[in-house]
Amino acid sequence: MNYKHLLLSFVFLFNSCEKDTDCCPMLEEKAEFQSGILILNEGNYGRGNASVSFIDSDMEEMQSSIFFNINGRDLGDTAQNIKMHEEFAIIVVNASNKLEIVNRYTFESIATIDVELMNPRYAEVVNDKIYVSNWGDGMDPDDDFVAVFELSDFSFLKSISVAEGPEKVLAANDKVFVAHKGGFSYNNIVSVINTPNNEVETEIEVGDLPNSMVLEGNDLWVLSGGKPSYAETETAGKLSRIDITNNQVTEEFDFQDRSLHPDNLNLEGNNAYLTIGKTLFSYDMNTKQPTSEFKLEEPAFLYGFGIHNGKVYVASPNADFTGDGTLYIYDLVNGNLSDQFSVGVNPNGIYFND
Amino acid sequence: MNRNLYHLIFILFCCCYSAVAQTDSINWLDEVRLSDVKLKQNSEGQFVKELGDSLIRQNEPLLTTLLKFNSPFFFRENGYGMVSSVSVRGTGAAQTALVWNGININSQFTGQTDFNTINTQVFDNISLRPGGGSVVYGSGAIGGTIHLNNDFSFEEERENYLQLGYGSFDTYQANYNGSFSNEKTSLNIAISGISSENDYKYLGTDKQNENGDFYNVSLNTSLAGWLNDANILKFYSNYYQGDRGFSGTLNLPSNSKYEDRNSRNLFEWKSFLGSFTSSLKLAWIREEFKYYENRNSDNFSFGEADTGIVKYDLGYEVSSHIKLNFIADYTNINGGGSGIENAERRVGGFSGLWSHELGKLNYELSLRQELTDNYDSPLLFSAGVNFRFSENYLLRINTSRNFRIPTFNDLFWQSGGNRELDPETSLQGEIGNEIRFQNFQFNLTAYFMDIDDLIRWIPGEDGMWRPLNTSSVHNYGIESFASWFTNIGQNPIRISGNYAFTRSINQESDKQLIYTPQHKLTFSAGYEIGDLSFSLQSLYNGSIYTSSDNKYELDSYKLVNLGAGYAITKTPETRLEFRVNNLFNEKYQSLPSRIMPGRSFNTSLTIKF
Repeated sequence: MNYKHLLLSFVFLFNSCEKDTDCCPMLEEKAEFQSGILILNEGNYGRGNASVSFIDSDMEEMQSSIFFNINGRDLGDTAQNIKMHEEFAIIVVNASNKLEIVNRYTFESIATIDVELMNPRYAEVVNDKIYVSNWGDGMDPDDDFVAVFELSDFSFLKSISVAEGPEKVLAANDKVFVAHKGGFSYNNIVSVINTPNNEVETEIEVGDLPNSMVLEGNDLWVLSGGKPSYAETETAGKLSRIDITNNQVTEEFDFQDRSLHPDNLNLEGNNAYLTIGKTLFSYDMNTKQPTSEFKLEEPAFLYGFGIHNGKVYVASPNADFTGDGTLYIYDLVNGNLSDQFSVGVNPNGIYFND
Repeated sequence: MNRNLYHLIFILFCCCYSAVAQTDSINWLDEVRLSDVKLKQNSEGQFVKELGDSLIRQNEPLLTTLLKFNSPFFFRENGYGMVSSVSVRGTGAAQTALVWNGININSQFTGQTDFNTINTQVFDNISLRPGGGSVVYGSGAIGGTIHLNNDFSFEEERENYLQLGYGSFDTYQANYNGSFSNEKTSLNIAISGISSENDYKYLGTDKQNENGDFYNVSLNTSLAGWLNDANILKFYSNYYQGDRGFSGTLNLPSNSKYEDRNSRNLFEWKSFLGSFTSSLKLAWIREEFKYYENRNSDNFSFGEADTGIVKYDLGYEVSSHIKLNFIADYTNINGGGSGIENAERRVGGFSGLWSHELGKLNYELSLRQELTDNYDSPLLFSAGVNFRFSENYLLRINTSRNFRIPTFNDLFWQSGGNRELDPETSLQGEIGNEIRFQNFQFNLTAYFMDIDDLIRWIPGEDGMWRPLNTSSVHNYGIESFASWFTNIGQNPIRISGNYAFTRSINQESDKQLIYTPQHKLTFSAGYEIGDLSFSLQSLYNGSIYTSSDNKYELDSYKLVNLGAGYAITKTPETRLEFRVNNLFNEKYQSLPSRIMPGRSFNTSLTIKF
């Protein structure tokens, strides 16, 4: 920082001496968060202590509370997710019922959307429109919806009523696929929103509690965790392959043991990965067999998870969800812990600027 | 041990004998007057602080407020009148037992009591007994026990007391207490209610407390009657009804509502047969709550539990200095609600209590073993001694093993309940010093507690939260109570203060537990000049960690209340009181984002007739 200041004062010095020369190129303001990792920390419900931490790409400097530092105000209460789209970072702040939209490289606030949202969960952008899944009143199964906003002026466009518990959203082919985990209850569908007319065109049945989706060509892979042991009937996880051109399930793989609840489906290169408990599995799409890779021992549990350029990133809160959590970085090849950083309170997501 | 056994056998054989011995008249009077004789007679080695009815009446009816300013205990509050939990000697809220007329009334679901759901005005005295007490008071008596008591007198008494109050935030309060007695019968009736809009400003912001409106009503009846010279029947009944909006936080609005309906009933038949005192108690307690996430909707979650207790206590005076009690009891609890089905607990228990007075030295030994299919029950014990070195100095030593049993939520919660849980157990000891001069009393206690198998809800690898017996905590600290009474000229002045230094260290992380201040101090004073009276209450609460890594904390705070009263007429005795709470308008919170009220006012009128 001091070094930067020194440089700046030199520039001013220069400028004052020679007023109109082209000897010195304009110092291009390098965005502070141009290259590195963003960690979303959800904070504690009711305390308004959500924050974003940044780790620069050479893994040396960690900055906490960058939203507050840049914008001079708190991010809000219980940040759920960030959608990165072009130069935008769209931060869904669940309990505050709002979206904070910032420039992902400078973190300067561009807009706040705080209307027509209730219990917002995840955001997606298609055709310059923002789609946000919402639970509505958590105890009411019939008021769930996807809210649509214009990306150009952030105005509200439409609220699309959907089935209970819409969670992750993913865009492909002018469609938005919404995975219904079920909110306070359980659900087992992916609803498909046709974006030209913003209506639900169909609901596709998948496994219980779909928790992650990835797209590979025209195949949408949906991983469902299955119902947990405390449900009336515990169910096994399931992987479903959906052809997005006709919304048909073309293939299904059932996990054999119903006590196994897979999560965090990721594509990295030609491989698919998922987690069961704290163990990372690779998944062979041809043989349909998961293979155990290694166990991630250090995290309390996998609250935020991502695979990026040969590294596994795990965001873990403290076991009692108070105090600062930790980001663990593992080598995907051998499972060795390569780095760890203390981040903000209850980190739940990892995003990349590069 | 052998001697104990000998006496036990002795008693069993002597039951058929009609032994003739003089009964200690003081003990005997306690047995008649008090609902909880053990509090008085079996607290050797421990200090019991009694808050009398005048102090209770002088404070507003929420138990949190009374104890916040008159004890070294710490309270964390979600807001004025909202959910409030106690921390005694650095323990958690479920490690403190709230005892109503001798019966533990902590919730079966949470194992703790919300201190803002206790209306103080219906009780004759409230006693604080820091330290272990599971042998007599059961689960949760680790940090300490707090006792809500109703007493009887048989003195041809006829007294009515009426109090009406109004204060800031549209707070209305009223209570009536009536005591009637003759030689044979004693009746106390009390009813108290408070309601408040509770829409105070959040200091330093443009927001105010929303959805924090509340009311509660408590009704208490106690009735005692002599059947003949040797048999007395006692009946106590308490009903509590309270509705609250749960206020939002600084960051979040709220639209939720919570309803409490609690009833407690106790029947006792006591007989005096020579050296024997026989007591049969039957108790029936019902707790019921409903939670509406949206107060305008009909959807709610709920819980209800019924507790039935049968307890037989046989006391025997081995000699005029030795008393032995043998207690057998059986408790049956049935509960259910949202997320919990058919929770049941049946517990049988046997206790033996031995107390011995040897002039300057008194000691007490007690044991309790419970039998239940719910959990493995440890053998509980307590040993205490008082040694009076001189008129001015008393030494107390006590050691005990206590426990907190898993709650219905811990055991039976559908998503995560763990039926394999063991009780939390504590091994603890304390040394107390009492210095007493005519009008001055000072108590200083140092304690140490080792609490094992703490029950904590933690997420497993699969992300599911389950309660587990986890780490161990060491609590140690000092606690002091002081009071002084004197006259300035003709005018009486009373001063009292409490201080607690508390360390509560997680043995794994070596960090102080969250929500346990290292320092808490209270100071109060009362002064009377003729028909005028003045009172001051104040407290200092040290900073509190809010995260287990001790990286986040809440600031310390100081509160001062000032009151003035005027006696308008002597017959009937009529008084007008005026009080300013939080005189210096301190912005404070005992939970993050839960702002407490700034300066507020309260007036009340009382009539005794």
